Amino acid sequence: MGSALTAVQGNRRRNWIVLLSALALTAPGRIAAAEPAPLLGTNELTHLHRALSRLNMDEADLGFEKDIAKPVMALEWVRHALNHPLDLPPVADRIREAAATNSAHKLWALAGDLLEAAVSARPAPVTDESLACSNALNPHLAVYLREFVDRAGGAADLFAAASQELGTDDMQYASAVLLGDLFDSEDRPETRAALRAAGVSSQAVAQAIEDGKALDPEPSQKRIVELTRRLKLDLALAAGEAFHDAVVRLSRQAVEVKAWPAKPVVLNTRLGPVVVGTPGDDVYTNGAVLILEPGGDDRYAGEAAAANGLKGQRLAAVVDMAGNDRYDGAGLMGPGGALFGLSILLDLAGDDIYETAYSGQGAALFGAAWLEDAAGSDLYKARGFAQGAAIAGLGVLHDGDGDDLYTVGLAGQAYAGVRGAGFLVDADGNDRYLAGNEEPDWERYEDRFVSLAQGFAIGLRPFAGGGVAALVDLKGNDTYVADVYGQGVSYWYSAGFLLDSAGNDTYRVHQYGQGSGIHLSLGLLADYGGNDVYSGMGLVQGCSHDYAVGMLFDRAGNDIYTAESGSQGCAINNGFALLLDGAGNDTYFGARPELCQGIGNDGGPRQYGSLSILMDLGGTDLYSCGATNNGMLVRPSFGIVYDVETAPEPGQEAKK
Amino acid sequence: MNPPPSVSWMRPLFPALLPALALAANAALAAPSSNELSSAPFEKLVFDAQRFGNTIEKKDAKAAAKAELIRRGTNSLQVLMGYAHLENDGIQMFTQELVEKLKPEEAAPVLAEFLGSDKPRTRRLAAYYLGLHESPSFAARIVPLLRDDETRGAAIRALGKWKVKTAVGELSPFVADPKEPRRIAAINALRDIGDPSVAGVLIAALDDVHFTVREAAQAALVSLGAAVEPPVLQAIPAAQGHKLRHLIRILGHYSSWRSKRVLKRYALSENADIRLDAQDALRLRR
Repeated sequence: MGSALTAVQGNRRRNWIVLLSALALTAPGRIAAAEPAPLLGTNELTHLHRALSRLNMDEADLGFEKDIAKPVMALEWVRHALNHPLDLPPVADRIREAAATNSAHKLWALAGDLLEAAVSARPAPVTDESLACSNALNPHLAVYLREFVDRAGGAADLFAAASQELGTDDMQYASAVLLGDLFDSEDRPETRAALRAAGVSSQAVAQAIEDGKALDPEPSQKRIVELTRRLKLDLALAAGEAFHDAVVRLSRQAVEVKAWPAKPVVLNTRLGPVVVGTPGDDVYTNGAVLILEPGGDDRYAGEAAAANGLKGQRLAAVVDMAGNDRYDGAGLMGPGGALFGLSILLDLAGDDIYETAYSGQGAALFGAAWLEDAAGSDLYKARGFAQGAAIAGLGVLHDGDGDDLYTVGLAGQAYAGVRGAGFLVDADGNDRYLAGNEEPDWERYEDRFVSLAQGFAIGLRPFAGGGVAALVDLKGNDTYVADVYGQGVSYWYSAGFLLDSAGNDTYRVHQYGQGSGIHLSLGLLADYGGNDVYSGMGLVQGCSHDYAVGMLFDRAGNDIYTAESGSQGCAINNGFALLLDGAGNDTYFGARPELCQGIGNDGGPRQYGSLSILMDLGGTDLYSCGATNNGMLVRPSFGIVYDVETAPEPGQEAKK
Repeated sequence: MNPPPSVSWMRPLFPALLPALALAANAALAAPSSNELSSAPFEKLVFDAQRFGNTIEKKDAKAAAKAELIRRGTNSLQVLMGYAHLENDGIQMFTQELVEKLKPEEAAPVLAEFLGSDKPRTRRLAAYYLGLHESPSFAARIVPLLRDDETRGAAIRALGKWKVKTAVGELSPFVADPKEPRRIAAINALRDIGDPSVAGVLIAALDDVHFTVREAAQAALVSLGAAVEPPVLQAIPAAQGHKLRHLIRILGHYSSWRSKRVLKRYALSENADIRLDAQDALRLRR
C-alpha cells in the first residue's frame, strides 16, 4: 500500500519538478543579490522539521490526502501542492521575483507556466496593405505606426487561431453566463442591458438565466468548461504578449517624435482604426486598435480602450504619454478590458483616474488584458471582474510609482477563474486596496459583502479547477481591506497569493483570507518585512478548511495578529495550515484561544484531524493561547505552537 | 463552512443553510400563504428550497419552501432522493437536513429504497444518510455495499456507528485500503464497534505513512481500553519510529504497573521526542 502511494506521489513529484524547471528557465537571473531569501529557507525548514518531530510526524506527513476530487482542467501543480504543501512557498517566491524584475516578458512567461500553457508560438508581423498614412503625420511616426500595425496583425491572426473553435453563439453564451452571473442578470435589468450593449444577444442572456435556474447544473456548467477548454491558451497568451510587445515598442518610439497633429488623425486598418491624438486635451469614445495620445489631460469613454471580440474589435491598445487622464467605462467591459480579445493600455505619466461601471482595468474574459500605469498617484474604481482579473486568459494591472487607491466591489485586485491568471503588481508607493461593499454575502452574513479579491482564485466546483491570482506590492506602507474572501485565498483547485515586499502594512478581512485555502485549494500571504497588523474574524491568517492548504509568512518586524476563531495557523476539516513569523516581537491574539493558534479540529463527520502549525522564529512574543517563548505547545487535533526567542545568526545552525 | 450549492460559477461560495430567524423580518413581504404552500407541487418547492437566495424574495421563498417540505416529511424525502444523483449541493444539503429532522424509523425505509439505485451518487448518499441515524436493523442491507466502490465509505461508517459486530471481519481489511480516507473510516468503524480482537490490525496501522491514519489508530486503541493492553505492550520491543511513539502515548491510558515500568524506561530515553512522549504519558496516568 505504502509503495503504491509513493509511486503515485513520485509521478506527481516528477511533473512538479518539470514545472519548477520550466519556471526557473523562464526567469533567467532571477536570483539577484538584493532579493530576499526564500520563504522556506534552511532555517525555516530546520525548525519546521523539529516542530513536526515533536508531533511524531515528518515532512511526508504533510502529504496526507487532500486531492480527493475529480475536476477537469485542474492545474497539475495545484494538485501537486495540495499533497506537497512545502512546494507552494517557492511558487510565491517566483511570482514575487518575476514581479520585482519589472520585466513584462517574465510575467507573461510566468503566467504561461502557471497556467500550464507555456508560449509555443511567436507570430510574425503581417503587412497591412490597407494602411494609408495621412500627410498630417510626422514621417517617422508613420513608419512607427506601420510597423505597429504589422506586428498587431500578426498578433491578431494568432489570436484568431487561438479562438477559432469558439463560435459567436459560444462567445455570447460564455459572456452571458460568466458576467451575467457575476452582475446578476437574472434580477437586474441593467445588467441584461449592459450585456446586450456589449454584443450579447437577448437570446443568449435569456438562455443563461434559464440554465442558471436548472436543478441540474451539470449541462450548462459543462458547456462553460468546454468553452474554456476550446480556447487555445498557449496561442492566446503568445498573441497577447506579441501585441503587448508591439505596443511597448511603439511607446518607446513615440517618445522620439516631436511633431504631433493639431487635430486627432484617424487611419483605417483591417484591425480597426488607428487614432493619433494631439498634445491637447482630447476625448475618445470609439473603439480602435490603437489610440496614440501624446499629451494633455485626456478622457477615454464609450468603446475606447477596450477590446470586444463580440463587436468586432478584438484588439485594442492605448498609449497615453502624459497628462492626468480619465478612463471611464460605462459598459460591461471598460478601459483596459478584453472580452474575447486582447487589450493593452499603457499610461506613462500623470495622476490618472480609472473608473468603470462594470469590468476592466486589466481584465480578460477569454483573452488577455494588460493595463500599465507607469507613474503618478492613481485612482482605480470598478464594480467587479477588474484590476488584474481573468477567466480563460491573463489579466494584469501593473502600476509603477505613486500612492494609489484601488477600489473594487468584487472579483478583482488579482482574481482568477477557470484557466485564468490575474495579477496586480504595484511597484511603489503607499497604496490602499479596498474590496467589497457591492454584493452582500447572501445566506451567510447579511451585513457583510463578498470580496473575492486581493489574490483570490476560484474553480467551477465540482466540475473544473480554477486558476491562479497574485497581488504583488513591492514597496510602501500599504492597507488592504476586504470582507469575505480576500488577501491570498482560493476556492476549489486554485491558488491565491498576496505578496507584499516591504513596508508597514495593514491587512483587514472578515472571513476566509490572509493566506487561506478553502475547499481543496491553496492560499498564501507573504509579507517580507515591516511592522504589520493583521486582523480578521475567522478562517484567516494561515488557515485551511476542507482538504486545503493555507499559509501566512511574515519574515520580519513587530507584528500584531488579531482574530476571533479558526485562525493563526489553524486547519480544519482535514487541511494543512501554517503561520510562520520569522522575526520581531509579535502579538498573537485569538478571542477564542481554544480555536486559534496551531490548532485543528476532528473533521466533523469525517472524524480525523488536520495539521496546524504556528511558528515564531525570533523575538519576544505574546500568545493568547498560553504558549510561551522558547517553547513548544502541542495543541489538539493536531497542531503546535513553536517558538524560538532568538533568531539564529545567518549561517548558524538552528538549535532548539 | 458546509459544502455550498452549485448553481453557478460564483454561487458555490454561499452555504445553503439559512437560519430561519434571519428571514422573519421580511417573511410577510413575499412568502406564499400557507394555503398556497400546502397545495404547491413538490417541483416548485424543491426549486425554491435549493435556490441561491440572493434577493429578499428568493430567501423568503426558500425558507417557506423548506418549511413546507419538512412538514411533508417522508414524502418530501422520497422526492428529494429522486434528485440525489444531480450535482446540486443545495438539494443534497437540504436532504441531509430533512433526514436529521425525521425519526430513524421514518427516514430509514425511504432511504433503503435507494440503496440499490442504478445511479452511483444516489446509492452513496442513501447509504450516508442512512448512517446518520441509529438504524442497525438495516445492517444486512448495508453490508453488501462494502463491495461497491461508490458506497463503500458510507457503508463502513454506518456499520461502525451501528456497532455491527458481525461486520468486523469485512471491515478489517479496509484498514489497509490504498485510499487514506477509507483506512481512517475503517479504523473509526472498528473503534466504534469496540471489538478488541482487531488490536493487531490497529497496531499495524500505527506504522502508516500518514499521521491521519496513525492518529486514528491510536485513538481507536485507546478507546478499546485495557483489553488491548497486552498486545500493545507486546508490540513495543520491536517497534520503531512513529509506531513506537504512538505505542508509548497509548500506554499513558493504562493504569497497570507494567505499562508504568515501560514508560519510566522511555522517560529516560536519549531521544528527546520519545522522552517527552513518555513523560507526557506518565503525567496522563496521574
